[in-house]
Amino acid sequence: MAKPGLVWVRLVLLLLLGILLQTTLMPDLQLREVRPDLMLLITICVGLTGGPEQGAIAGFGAGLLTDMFMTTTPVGLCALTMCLVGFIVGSLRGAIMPEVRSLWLAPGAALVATAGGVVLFVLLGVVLGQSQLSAGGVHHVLKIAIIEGVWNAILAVPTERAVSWASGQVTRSAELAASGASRPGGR
Amino acid sequence: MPGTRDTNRTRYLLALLVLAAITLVTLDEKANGGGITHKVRSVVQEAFAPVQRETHSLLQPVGDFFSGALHYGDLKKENALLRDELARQQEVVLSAQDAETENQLLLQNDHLDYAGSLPRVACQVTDQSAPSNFEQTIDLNCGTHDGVTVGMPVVSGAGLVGQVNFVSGDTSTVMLVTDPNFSVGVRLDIAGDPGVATGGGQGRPMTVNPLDTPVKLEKGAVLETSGLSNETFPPGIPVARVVATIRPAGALQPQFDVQPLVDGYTLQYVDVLQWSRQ
Repeated sequence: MAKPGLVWVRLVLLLLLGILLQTTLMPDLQLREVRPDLMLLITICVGLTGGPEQGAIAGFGAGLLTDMFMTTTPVGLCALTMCLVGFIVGSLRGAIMPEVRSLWLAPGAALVATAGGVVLFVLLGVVLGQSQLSAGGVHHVLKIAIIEGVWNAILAVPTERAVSWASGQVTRSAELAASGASRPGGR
Repeated sequence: MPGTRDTNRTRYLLALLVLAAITLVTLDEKANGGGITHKVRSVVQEAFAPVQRETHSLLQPVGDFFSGALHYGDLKKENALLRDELARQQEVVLSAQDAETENQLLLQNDHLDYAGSLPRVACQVTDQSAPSNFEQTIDLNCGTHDGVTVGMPVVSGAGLVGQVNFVSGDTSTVMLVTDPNFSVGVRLDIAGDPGVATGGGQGRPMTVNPLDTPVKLEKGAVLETSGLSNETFPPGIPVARVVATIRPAGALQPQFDVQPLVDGYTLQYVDVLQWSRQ
């Protein structure tokens, strides 16, 4: 385990790299006009590897950074959403599946938590007066939630590795790969 | 009981973060586009802009590769369409001179020289850096130093692109006509019956609601900004083309689906009209 101070420095660097990629490369990765959300994905991965406390703080930071580049929604809306997503993912990881060791954990969690995060963002936005977020109707929101979830599931494994490097932890996928390789006859 | 203490600590922390976020939302809403949150946003965006530009140009080939791979089918279709179009253009090239003259006359007749007398700032589109799927914006390389302010209309040769909704010293952000937050007053017919066109989100048509009497619109009709008093756009800017008439259940008059004339995401240069509400 790395020192806590170093962990946060690395996480901040990762978030800065994340927002840079989100605002430059991700607009080119559009499938049916929907792009991945790296900041939400980083939040989910931090929740998975670091627990609810780290997830909530990283989510707040990731959301606040995202808010800086949004111009039609108020500052704080993304921070609120991602902070809750990070906390919920971290809590569920600890409470429901602490012993789950699967390569599919990160992609599965990214798919579900991203879709949930998108819906939560719209719901909180509408409650806080941003009715334009639901103007396209339920189908439009669900379409964005599902496609964004699939995108984030695809990008989950490399992002989880980056987050684990920042947290000074070994990823599940790396751990499984290593145990498979060291086992006699393991592939 | 260290476990319980940890759980309590995490809950207090979450409550604190939620409270901080809600406070920020409230402050930003109260400031209504100004205040400390606007200043912080402006500083952060200006600080990031050079890094974003460099990163964007560095990653452009990667982005183009993925974009091409994701839209391979569309590109093939577009290629076939362009070949057809080229063949047709070659057939009509002899009458191009006449067509151009006629076109000039039609443009004058249709008042498409909408921005003729208005001062304008030519800007380059630098990015589409909105980090969310719920926001349709593009970034420009001009800001307050060039005379751009929030609320100014943004146009291209084909018509209305959007409206400046955020500005810093050297950059500005344009809310596109497709953004669900965007609305513009339009003239529905020669008589000048007004309506309001609202963005429907990326890849979706805008919706027009007539304000007064029931109006009939032909498919393909082009709608222009109305320019009524207190309107945020000058009159006569082409906005969108009618694609369908819809009759919502229980509504007294029909609504119209209209397709914006300009796809803001494909533009390289735009003009910001230095026009403010009359």
